[in-house]
Amino acid sequence: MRNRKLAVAALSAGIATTLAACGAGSSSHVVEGTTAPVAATSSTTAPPAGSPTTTAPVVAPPSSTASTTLNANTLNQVAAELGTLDTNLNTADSDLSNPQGDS
Amino acid sequence: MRHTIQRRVAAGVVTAGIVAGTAAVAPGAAFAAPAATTTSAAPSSSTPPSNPLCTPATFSAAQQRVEAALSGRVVQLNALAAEANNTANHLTTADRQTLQNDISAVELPGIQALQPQAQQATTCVQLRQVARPMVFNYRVYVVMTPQTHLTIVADDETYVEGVFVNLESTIAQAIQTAQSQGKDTTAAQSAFDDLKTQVASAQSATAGQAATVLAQTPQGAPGNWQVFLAARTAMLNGRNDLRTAFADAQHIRTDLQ
Repeated sequence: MRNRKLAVAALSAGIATTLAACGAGSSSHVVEGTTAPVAATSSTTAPPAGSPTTTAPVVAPPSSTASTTLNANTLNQVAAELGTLDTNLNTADSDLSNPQGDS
Repeated sequence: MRHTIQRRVAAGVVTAGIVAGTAAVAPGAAFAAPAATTTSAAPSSSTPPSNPLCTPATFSAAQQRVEAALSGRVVQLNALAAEANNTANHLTTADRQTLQNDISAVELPGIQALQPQAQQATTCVQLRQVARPMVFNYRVYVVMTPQTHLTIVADDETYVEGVFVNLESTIAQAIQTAQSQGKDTTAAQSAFDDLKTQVASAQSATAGQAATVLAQTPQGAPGNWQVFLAARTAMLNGRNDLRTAFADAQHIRTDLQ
């Protein structure tokens, strides 16, 4: 059980670090405000291509409580990104399905 | 909101009529014309059918409609500028600058420059000299609007793809760790394989889309409507791929718990 939790914690930490790294450079981005708790280990995860490089954020050490919370939070952050994407896509779709004019 | 849209559609139809020709028809005829299509049919061509609304008798009303159409475009362009300036989205620096320049340095001042001309017009000829460039030079609704929104979507999707790509090594490591500890990771590995496939598919769908969309110009209308439709399809496909990838990530998380 402990080993499994450690594996999940490691995965969660990576997810959090990745999201935070991707969000770096966008001061108003939602991810930054929800970046993992307290520093303990630094990450070597690289941001995606095209993203501004910055100091990698750090994440909390794995603990069963923290990892469970972090895990949910980080996936929620991905879900939020997808939700924003949906909203923007719907707007673009509306432009084309119901144009506001013929010019 | 719907009311606003309908008004804009009506204004657009009326404006097209003003632009088109000189024969006299009742103003109401234009409002009876088809409203905004609910399909994705291409907007009218650069040579709209004759449906004029400006005659000496109707000049005042026509002038008001052109002024309203110009004001509506200013509102729309300001909204687009706000979206392009919004750093909460994931527009790349270059794409943001391109949109900001097109909207705020070309379109908006161009439309605003037409506003006093519309106010000062005293003949239908003069009014058409304002209405025509308003439509054909700037294409606020059928080029600038979808261009801005689709570019935002393309860059948003690219960003989310990057999030997933960065997760891949982490997930692989987590699965390996769990496996080394004796856990059956078959399901997690299967979900992970699918996640990678979905992300790659999304990347393929969105590759180059922002550049293609940004390359469209008002002068390319209505032909570039098909470009926008194709981009929308690609974005939808990419979004669906990312949704599936997210479901895979959730499965992996559950399986490793």
